[in-house]
Amino acid sequence: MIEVKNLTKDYGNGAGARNVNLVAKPGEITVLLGSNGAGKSTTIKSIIGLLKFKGEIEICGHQNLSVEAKKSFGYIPETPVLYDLLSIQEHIDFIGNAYNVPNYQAEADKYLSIFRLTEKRKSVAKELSKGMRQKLSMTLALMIHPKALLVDEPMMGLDPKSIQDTLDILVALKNEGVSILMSTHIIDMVEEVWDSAYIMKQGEMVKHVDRRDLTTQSLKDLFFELDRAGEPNEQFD
Amino acid sequence: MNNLIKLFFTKKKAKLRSIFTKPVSGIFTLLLVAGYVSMFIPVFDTAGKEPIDAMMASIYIMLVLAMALIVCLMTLLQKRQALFFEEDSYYLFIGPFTNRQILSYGVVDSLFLSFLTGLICVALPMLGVASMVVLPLSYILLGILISTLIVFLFTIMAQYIYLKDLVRETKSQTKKIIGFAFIVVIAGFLSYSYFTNGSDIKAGLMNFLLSKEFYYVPIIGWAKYALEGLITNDFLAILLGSGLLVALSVALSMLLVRIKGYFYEKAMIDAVEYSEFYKKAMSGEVVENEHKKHYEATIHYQKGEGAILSKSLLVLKKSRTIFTQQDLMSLVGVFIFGFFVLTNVLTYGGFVLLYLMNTSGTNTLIEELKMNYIYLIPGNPFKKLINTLIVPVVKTILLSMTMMAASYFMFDMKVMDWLAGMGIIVSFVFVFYAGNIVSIRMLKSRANKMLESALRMFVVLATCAPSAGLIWLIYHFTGNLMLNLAFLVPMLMGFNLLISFLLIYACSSMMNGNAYTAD
Repeated sequence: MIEVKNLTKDYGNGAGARNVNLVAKPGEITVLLGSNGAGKSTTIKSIIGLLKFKGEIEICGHQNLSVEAKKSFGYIPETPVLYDLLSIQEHIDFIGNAYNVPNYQAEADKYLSIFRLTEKRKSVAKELSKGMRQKLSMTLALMIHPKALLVDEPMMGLDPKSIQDTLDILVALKNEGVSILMSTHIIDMVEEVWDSAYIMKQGEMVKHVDRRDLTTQSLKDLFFELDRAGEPNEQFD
Repeated sequence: MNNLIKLFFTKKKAKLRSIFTKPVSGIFTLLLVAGYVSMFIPVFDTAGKEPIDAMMASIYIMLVLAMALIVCLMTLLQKRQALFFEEDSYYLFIGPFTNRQILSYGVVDSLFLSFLTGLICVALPMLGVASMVVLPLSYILLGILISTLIVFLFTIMAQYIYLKDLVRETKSQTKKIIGFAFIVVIAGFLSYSYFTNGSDIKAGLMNFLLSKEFYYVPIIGWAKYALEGLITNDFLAILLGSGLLVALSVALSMLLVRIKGYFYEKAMIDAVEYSEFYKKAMSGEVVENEHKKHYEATIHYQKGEGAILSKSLLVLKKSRTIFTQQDLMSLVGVFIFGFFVLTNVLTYGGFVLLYLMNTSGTNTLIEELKMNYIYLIPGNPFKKLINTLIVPVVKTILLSMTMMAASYFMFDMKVMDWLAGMGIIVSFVFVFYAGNIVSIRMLKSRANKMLESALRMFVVLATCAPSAGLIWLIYHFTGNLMLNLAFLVPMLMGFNLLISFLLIYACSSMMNGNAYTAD
């Protein structure tokens, strides 16, 4: 479970996040929606510890900066960060050992096979295409058996088949009880898989909705309705 | 922590592997390394050399310390700083590591880099001294140890101050203050020695450096104490001097890894900026200070190929900077070296030429030639190349004239001789640029930067060969270059300009295809 309470991040120029509260429950895909600059990445980066914030964040019951919390979450960034000169296998060895994952090779092999990267195992990161880099980044986040998964605009640079594979993986992880928090501004992509959605606008959380409560309109319609609305706090429930 | 140490070695192995990925790159690298190694073979050839005496030993020690000190001052005064590169920061800050593990990894990394820097600090003094006398292995090994420790200490000190600033969320000037205080203290001692030694700067400097009081100067004094133990065979001095450096290194490292508080956010931002800067610097691009002020400016664009020059002038007007910070630092370095080390205008001129050959606008030129629009603009390729070259060439000419202007005062020259020297240097600037254009035309960009630089230097040297041959011929037939200045200078200048023109013209066709990036 990922719990964010009263998260405020002020960059000093008005942007950031203000008093954000959210919960990503185990066995659910929680999506964080918003236009560019709405505060999605700020929220995700605060959760993983790369931003200093006011408020409280817990991952699986641990304060987000603790080693216990770090052991339990995986993070897939929008732009993969990889060691250019290390091969796929060397990245896997590093993460497998760093997170002390038992039998990590088998787990990594599973994802390499899904992402059709097995043959590229010896290739160094700088030789990989943009899509392959993203797939390697996902493999590294998924092979640690995360209890919580944070995903920031995950489908950038992926081909349609890989997007579907990724969505299938996320659904499988959800069914295994993983808490998934995914930020995106491409609503069509998550329409089929989301369980809970938070909509952000100008750094504030303007709406939280569960799939079962959204019966009369689609998530996309709700998003655009809120996006067009004037005052952000008026419709916050 | 074991995993981080393993990562450290995996990265080093990967770096080596990347060099040897392509056979040609691997072979050239091996040849280059063999070339460098062969430079050091005479160091161990003792035949016909006198044993090292106290004077030569002192010179060796002072040179090692001076090299280390320059590196340290640069560390303290540099604006850009980061704990790690972006990739390390990302995995370390997000991964399951404690702050102590993260910072310990940083200490190990710094120690390794300090060792490499220590080797460089010893290399030049070693080559110089060993060419005259027998330099015992103990001098080399202790020199490496001591310079490694000095560089490590200053690096850790800079990191400690930086990290404290991150945790406190302040930007203190401590690093700069320490750096400048160091310079002021040294300048103070030097001034004292200057006045007590009959206004003789060199004698004052030597007296200060050779005095026993110098041993009390922390770090550098201790280092000198240890190294001078070799001259007097004073094992205790070696042990005490090095021991003090090691003890301080351990203490500072312990302090560093125990720092508590949050620092990831700013450290990550700095890491991304630093990585970007490093990549640009390694690929030969001009690295500008991103916070540098830009001024409002406009320009009336010329039509056709001239628009390239207009664009370069607009950039110049917006930045209002002719010389970069690196240029200014080089100027100071050349002046200091010329003043203290070089004894006449010929060696000074040679040194300036060597400097210009190494740096002649390569970065600016490569950056400009990476821009696709240069090739896409329809026009005469020769005119495009000339318009591209004007601003960088003029900048380098101004730099070379500034360097040569100082020689007028340093060596008490006659005006005509000085103007002749200036003319020759300026004419060589054109040759160096022509050499660079030839190298870009021939070599394009190679993955191995060390190889690329070596090949480029080789081409530039080859371009200078006709002019060098002309000088040799004149010398061969007349016997004295200085007596034939009136003949030599115009002839050499004309010859250099002609060679440059021909080479640039011959290469100009590259402006109709992307010569730099296409392979």
